[in-house]
Amino acid sequence: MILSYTRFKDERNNFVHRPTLAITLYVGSKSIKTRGLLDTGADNIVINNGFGRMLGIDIKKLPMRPLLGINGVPTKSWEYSLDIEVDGLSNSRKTSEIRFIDSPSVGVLLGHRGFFENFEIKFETYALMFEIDLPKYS
Amino acid sequence: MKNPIEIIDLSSIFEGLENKWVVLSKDNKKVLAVADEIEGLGKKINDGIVMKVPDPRYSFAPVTSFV
Repeated sequence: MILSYTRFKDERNNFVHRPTLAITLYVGSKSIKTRGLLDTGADNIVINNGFGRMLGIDIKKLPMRPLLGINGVPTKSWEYSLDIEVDGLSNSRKTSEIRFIDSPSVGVLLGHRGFFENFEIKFETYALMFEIDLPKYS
Repeated sequence: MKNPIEIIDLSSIFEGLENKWVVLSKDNKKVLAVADEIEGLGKKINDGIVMKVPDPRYSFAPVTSFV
């Protein structure tokens, strides 16, 4: 499946293009559609606590795991497993370990554990496209 | 060869909404709801794509701070 990058504005009022992907998060009978940023530098899937609250999860009762960002300061995250489906990609629903985070700037980051390890992804940034498919190899 | 895929352009419809929670229509063309907290989106949360709008004052590289 070939998808386009998503266009935003940057701090100079220029366009900036980011690889975001429409996904659905599932917990029991509840679900939320969102767009996650494909983040090849992230070990984990990181999801804003707000999504967890709307999905009925009592986040502060989950196991706490520290995360380290680029400023070198550890922050709290809470480990959970939920189902994630790539919108428009058949048979893509997978149960993935994720980390909830209380952040003013992060919505959903799709990192290696639980996401990149489950899909074949090819970036074609020069053309503002990326391809995502189920893996050919196990 | 030209990119055959239409860019998803959120640059205009997200103007003035930085750091807000929004519900975006499934065709990515309209903002259906805006709130400071995700809970404020109410039942609209089921109508589209829920996003936290990036702050355009900063290039994005996820930074954590101790909470």
